[in-house]
Amino acid sequence: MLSSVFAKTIWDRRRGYVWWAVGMLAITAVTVAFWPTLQADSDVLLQLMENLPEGMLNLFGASEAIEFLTGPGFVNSRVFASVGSFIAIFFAISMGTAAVAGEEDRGTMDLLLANPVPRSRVVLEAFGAQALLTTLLAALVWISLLVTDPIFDVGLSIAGTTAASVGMVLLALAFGSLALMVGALTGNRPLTVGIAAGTTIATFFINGLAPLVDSLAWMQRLTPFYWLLDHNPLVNGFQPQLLVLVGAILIAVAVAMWGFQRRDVTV
Amino acid sequence: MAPVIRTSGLTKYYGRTRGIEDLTLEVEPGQIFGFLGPNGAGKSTTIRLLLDFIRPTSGLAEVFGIPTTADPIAIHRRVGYVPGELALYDTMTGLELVRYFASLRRVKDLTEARRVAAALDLDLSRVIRSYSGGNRQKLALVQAFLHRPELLILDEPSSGLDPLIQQEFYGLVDEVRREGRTVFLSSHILPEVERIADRVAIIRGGSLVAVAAIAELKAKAVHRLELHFTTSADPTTFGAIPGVRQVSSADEDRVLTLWIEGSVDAVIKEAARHEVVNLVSHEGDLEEAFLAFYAKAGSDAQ
Repeated sequence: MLSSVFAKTIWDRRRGYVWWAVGMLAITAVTVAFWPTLQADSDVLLQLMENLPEGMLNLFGASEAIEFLTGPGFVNSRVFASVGSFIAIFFAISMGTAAVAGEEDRGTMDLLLANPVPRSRVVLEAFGAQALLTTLLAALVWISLLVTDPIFDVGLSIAGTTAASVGMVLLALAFGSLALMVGALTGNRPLTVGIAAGTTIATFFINGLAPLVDSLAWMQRLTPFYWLLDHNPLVNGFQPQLLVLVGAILIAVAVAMWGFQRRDVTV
Repeated sequence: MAPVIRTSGLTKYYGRTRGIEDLTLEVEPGQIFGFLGPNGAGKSTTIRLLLDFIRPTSGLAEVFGIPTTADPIAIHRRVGYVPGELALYDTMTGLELVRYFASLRRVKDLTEARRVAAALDLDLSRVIRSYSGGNRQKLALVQAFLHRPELLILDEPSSGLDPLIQQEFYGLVDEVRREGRTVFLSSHILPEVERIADRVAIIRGGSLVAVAAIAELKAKAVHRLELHFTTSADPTTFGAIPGVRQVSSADEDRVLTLWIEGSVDAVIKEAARHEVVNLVSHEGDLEEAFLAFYAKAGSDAQ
């Protein structure tokens, strides 16, 4: 059971993980179950939304009001473009923070590193655990969407749901690996949480609002959200833009391994 | 034989704050090496440099002849460690922690861990959160011993242990000595170092003050001898004997109290010229020798 840093990192989550899973299932189920009602009143809602400022729509993953009123558009806006992804992101951040900064904060890093385990492996195995558990959270979304889709007649495709779920994992790991990296570079837990959570919120709004101002539109491309949501994988399936997120994650993990190796461990 | 630990000009600054400065020492195989100094003297800094948790500002440290920054993993494989600032995984049981670290060391056989836990009277089945400070310290010792390392690096290992368990710990160290393994032990408790170490380095304010064999220190220690005679004896005769630091007399010179550095032989021979009613010896106090070192270092600094 406790056979490696990877296994121990997962073991650490054995109690709290249930609640992340419950939250994820709840948002998915509520969204899907709400769809038939929404569809019935779609005319009224469409009118309402067309009166909303453009920025509000953008923030929730749609460029046109009409997009909300398709099954996939609605699921995308609630699960992948907002609440669901936020759950996955904050879970990944909590694991990324715990890996190095959290271990140092608790004062157990000396004891761990006195074992013949290279620091780079501590980082890598903690990331592996983060990737696995985040993937399982997204897998819950994937399964529950595909199971409930025929019941509520949402109209999701397997390819689209798979692409969006994988995209959710990559989006979450982008922020989770950022937390891992900041923690590995600084060993400072509050700073790590602050930077990772702050970046999440800031880039979410930049992605939604930057396109409204022509001179700021380029900033959208700096946000992980853009590389997932801009091509709407739930509708369009896998697109090469997702590779940008893969690249960002690999760089963050590599910097984390390098950064932790070269600095003093804090007491 | 090559030294197990060798440092040369080892210096560590945290920004502008001094950790240790120009520390040069050697620990030979099989030695129980006491690293003595008050809190904040740089003991933990030195130990954390040896294990490559922190990197020297300048100078060199080698363990088993391996530079600490070159291959710390090869060093960790052969070292057991008790940290000074002890923190453990509170949600694990003692046994889970032992199993975890045993796996990381690829040790399958937990016999040694269970033996040490039994010797220290530690219940491994309980969750660490419920452990007292003493029990936590015991668990730290158990995990340090579990792979029977060639070198034990123990940072204030007996802090929080009650006196009875401390004796058990000293017993464990004696075993390690008999097996020819090496111990590097930091402490601010002098009698502890005196009890278990062969050699002692005294560190203060980040610098090495002295390195000496315990026996050597003891030789420098000042004994107090009380001599009771039937008739008066001349204090000045005794005061003139080499090694005698001070003489005081009472009861019309029939009771002399002498402070003697090193051997008491000459004093006993002089005393034998009189009729001795009683002789009371107070064992040489290492603490006084230690303080003498400190006083000297202090006056040198001024």
